[in-house]
Amino acid sequence: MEKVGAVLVIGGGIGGIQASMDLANSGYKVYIVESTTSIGGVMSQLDKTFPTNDCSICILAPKLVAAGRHENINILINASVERVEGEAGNFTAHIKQKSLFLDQKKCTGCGLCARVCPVEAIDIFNEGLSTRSAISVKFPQAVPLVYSIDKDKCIGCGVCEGRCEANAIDYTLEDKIITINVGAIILAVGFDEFDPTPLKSYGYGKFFNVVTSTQFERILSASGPFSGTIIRPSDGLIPRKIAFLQCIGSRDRHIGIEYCSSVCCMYTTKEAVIAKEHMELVQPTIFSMDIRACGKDFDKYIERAKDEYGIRYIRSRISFIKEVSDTKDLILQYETENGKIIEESFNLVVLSVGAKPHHSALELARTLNIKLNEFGFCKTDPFFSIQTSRKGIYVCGMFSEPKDIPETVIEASAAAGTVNVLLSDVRNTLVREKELPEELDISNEPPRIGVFICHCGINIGGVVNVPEVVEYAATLPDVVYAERNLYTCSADTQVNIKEKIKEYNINRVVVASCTPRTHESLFQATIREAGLNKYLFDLANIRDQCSWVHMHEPEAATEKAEDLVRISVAKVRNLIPLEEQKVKVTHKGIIIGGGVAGMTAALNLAEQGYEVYLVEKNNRLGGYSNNIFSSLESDDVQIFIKELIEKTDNHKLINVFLDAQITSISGYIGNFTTNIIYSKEKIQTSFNHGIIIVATGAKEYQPEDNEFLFGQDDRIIIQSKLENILFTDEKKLKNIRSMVMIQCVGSRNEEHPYCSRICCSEAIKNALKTKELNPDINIIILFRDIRTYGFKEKYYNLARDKGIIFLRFNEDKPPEVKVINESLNVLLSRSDIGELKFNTDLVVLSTGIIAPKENSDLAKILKVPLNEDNFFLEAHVKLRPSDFATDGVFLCGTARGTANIKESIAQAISAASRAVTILSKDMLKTEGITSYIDEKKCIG
Amino acid sequence: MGLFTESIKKAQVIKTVCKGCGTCFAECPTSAIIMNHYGSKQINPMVNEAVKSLTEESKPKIVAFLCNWCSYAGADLAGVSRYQYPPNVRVIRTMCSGGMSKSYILRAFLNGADGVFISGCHIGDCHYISGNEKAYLRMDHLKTLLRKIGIEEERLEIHQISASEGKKFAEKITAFTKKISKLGDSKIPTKIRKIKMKAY
Repeated sequence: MEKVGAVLVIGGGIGGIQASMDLANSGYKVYIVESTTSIGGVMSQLDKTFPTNDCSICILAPKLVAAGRHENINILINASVERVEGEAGNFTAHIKQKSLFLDQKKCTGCGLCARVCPVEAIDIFNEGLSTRSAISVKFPQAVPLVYSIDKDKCIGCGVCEGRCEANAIDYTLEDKIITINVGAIILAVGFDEFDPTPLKSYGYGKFFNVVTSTQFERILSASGPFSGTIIRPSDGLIPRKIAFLQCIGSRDRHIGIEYCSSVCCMYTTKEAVIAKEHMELVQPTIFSMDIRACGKDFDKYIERAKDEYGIRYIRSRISFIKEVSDTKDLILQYETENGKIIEESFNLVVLSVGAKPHHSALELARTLNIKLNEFGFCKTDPFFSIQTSRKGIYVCGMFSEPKDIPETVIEASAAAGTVNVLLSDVRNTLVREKELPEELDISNEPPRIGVFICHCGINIGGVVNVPEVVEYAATLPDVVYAERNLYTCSADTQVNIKEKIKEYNINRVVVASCTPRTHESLFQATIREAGLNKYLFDLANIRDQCSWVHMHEPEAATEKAEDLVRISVAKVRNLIPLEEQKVKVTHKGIIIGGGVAGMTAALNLAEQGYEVYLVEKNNRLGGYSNNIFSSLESDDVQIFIKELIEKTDNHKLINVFLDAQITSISGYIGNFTTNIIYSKEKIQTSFNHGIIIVATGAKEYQPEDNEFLFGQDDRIIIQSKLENILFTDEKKLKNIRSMVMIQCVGSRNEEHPYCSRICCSEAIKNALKTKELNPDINIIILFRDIRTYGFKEKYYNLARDKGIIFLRFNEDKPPEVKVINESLNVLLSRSDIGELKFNTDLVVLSTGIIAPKENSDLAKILKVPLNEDNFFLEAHVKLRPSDFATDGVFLCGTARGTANIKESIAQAISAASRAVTILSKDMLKTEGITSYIDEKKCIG
Repeated sequence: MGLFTESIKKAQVIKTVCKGCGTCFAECPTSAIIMNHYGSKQINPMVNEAVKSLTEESKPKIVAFLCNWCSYAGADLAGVSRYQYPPNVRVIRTMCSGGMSKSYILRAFLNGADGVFISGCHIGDCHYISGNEKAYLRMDHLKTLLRKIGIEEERLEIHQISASEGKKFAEKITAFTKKISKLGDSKIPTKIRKIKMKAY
């Protein structure tokens, strides 16, 4: 069987896009099959993203544009997979592309057709909150930007066809079947949101002012149905009191949905914060069982929501909603912290709906012959979350388990990384270089500047008077053209910029929008496509450093925006075309840290034929995982680690250095040189390599002396000690009748203000194992929030079914451990239940994960940043979770933040995949911004 | 150039290794090094416009020079987190604080800036290894020079602000604006504006 150097990616959301970009940049041809009419997925519907409140479309749009314009990515919209034959390495896929009733090649996306269409249809993108015509585009920044006719709504009047100047509309176009040949398939179909209509007690669909969280997201959005003004559906008034109800369609065994949807606690908090930001008078209240803020910097976001935005959190699961018939307000009944039942009225209720398996899941499983799990999501390998039950078919994102955007992006790169290994011998067989027009010679021309000013929805336009800035820009010296755009970064504006460059003979361009750090390269690529040297460009930052920081001073912000545009114009007038240099790439990598993540990344690279230097500071491989015996799902971790170490040791392309320390790293992307000292004999050596992966891990928090009497009494142990006893010396537990576990030791406190993510699962894992060995033992787990996200919830339920008792304690009143006359006691005090005292044989402290102090030394050597908690800081928390801002340096595992083994493995393959986008190239282009010598002036 | 070049060794820039920080340009005593797109040819006109721009109502006039990797990103983070600060500041982005020539700052003051705010990475965090250390040393010299020509040295502040310190950026800018407001207009322009400091 001959392997094929192409990949089919099913689903064009953020996961599908990331996987496609990685693969296309690593030498493969990619086909994206997207069921709707644009790529972008759910992320394109979001207003903002947590925990940075980044504008979702702002960070997504450049990715959409980059994928849309990539030479080696072919996007098939309105399409689905009908049939697949073949096997890993060589599949034949038959794709059905439904008719758009319009020629995609001819459509310019001008939108005239939609304006003349007499039909009003419900707009699905805006969650049914507004209407659109029967011919429409999914959203303004859609890629590809083409309109399509909804056949069910179209009345066939012919008005649009008559008005279309591009002659793109053709009612006779039929569905077609496209057959493609690929080596691997990646499933990135995403999820469906839970439909709360069947839950009658919440009145969704009956009460006007009960909306879902996605509807509320659209209400908040500047490009949403109400342009970002928060109004409620019944009367169009501003709802002052908004209640958010958590776990609608999640963690609910009565309706057969046992798992946690993982993202709702965070997105709800984000929606509450944004609502408060949009309108100060809004008072959001969030009703939840637990707050599951277990991602990087998530807890800090919750704390800010409470302290700075005054968001109220109430621990209660609301079981029904009553509507007040005349005001259409809604009455909720809940229990207060003191145990009192009260009723409260709200103007709007938002149901935080969970994630369901994608509606195509069953069909897809049948078509592709893959297995689904007990919850209806894609079944995956216990350690490799991207591996489906069939070789050559991989999965990423929500289709395998509910998860947030960074985890989806990590898995997407990891899926691409796994494909890299499968298809490495047919890399670069089906790709072609992007053809760019000759650069125009502008050296003898006077500057002719074009200025494009972005509204960014209301992000800029809501504060800065954009039309005034445009008018002003047109008066500046050498400016020959100025215009404004709703989103300057969208695909249609790129076409427009290129047209304007030609039309007005523009030879230098200024865009006034967000920050050059995210968007400069996009616009540079655009002007290069128009024949201009990409360095004839400057970006004026009128959003991040103007409209967002002077939100209450529109006049001063407008004046500042004008100044910033003028400063940029002054700059571009003096720019000259610059030349880029080409640099050879050393096809080798260094991986710092030989734990699970480091070894996995090393093997991934080595299996593609790249030589790897694996540097471990200890005298053995394995890192912290050497202390882990089992996963929550009862998979044997020790066997897995042993195999991994063996494979790593035996691979001829992996050079392992133990007892090693890095002394210096020099060079740049593609050409680094590292000096190390290794072994007990302190041998010095150095090597050249093209990329660096940081996989240094983290360590277990050790309780301080006297913290819960730790160290004073040997009946007080930490969770990893219990695990060790359970798996190596269970006899020790023979006389134990009762056990109390205390959660969040060394986590979520002042010193470590973050959640360690894994301790809840570890406690439940060990509690279940203890119960299995000795069913009569009494186990009490004292916790603040149980954070068994995703399918881990099943084990929380199982633990409760087995009689393990879970009791919440308040942050300000942690339990106390006391030894009274040799007997071990744990005291718990809570306002609703009073003082409780547990006499116990064993106290187990669930200690958190902390970043080693040495991180700051390595960060200095690498010139990369750390976050406030001393974990390494990635280039962008949402969309570049595996990259550092420094080119050629990547990040994975617990060095980035707390993660379990499965997550670390995905991160490791993701980092390797990102690295291969460099290693797979022979030459890299360097920046043109360098210095040069004026020899006449140099005096040596 | 004949004899001259043969008898004296000239400096060379290895373009593939040059990362474009601009430190050599800012340090060169004879201005023999030219920085593409972040050199005097571009930044000087930007400074002129940045100072000219501020109207009477938006006093005091503050120009900030921020390095691309840490402080500019910190200023972006202030925006992303919606930390509000006074709108008086006009930011000029340079690749590294190492590339911030003394002439830029002097030019700002001579053209009428009331305050200049410089910020780069924390010591040890510099994207170009040590550009910021050189910048901080250079700014010490500059303060002495400012004193000599009669500009209060408090009008120049040098900070280390990282990409994760959005709040710090907003706070520092707010405090600096307040301080400069108290100091009042810089008296220098009327006195020495005519002096052409060509050496810089």
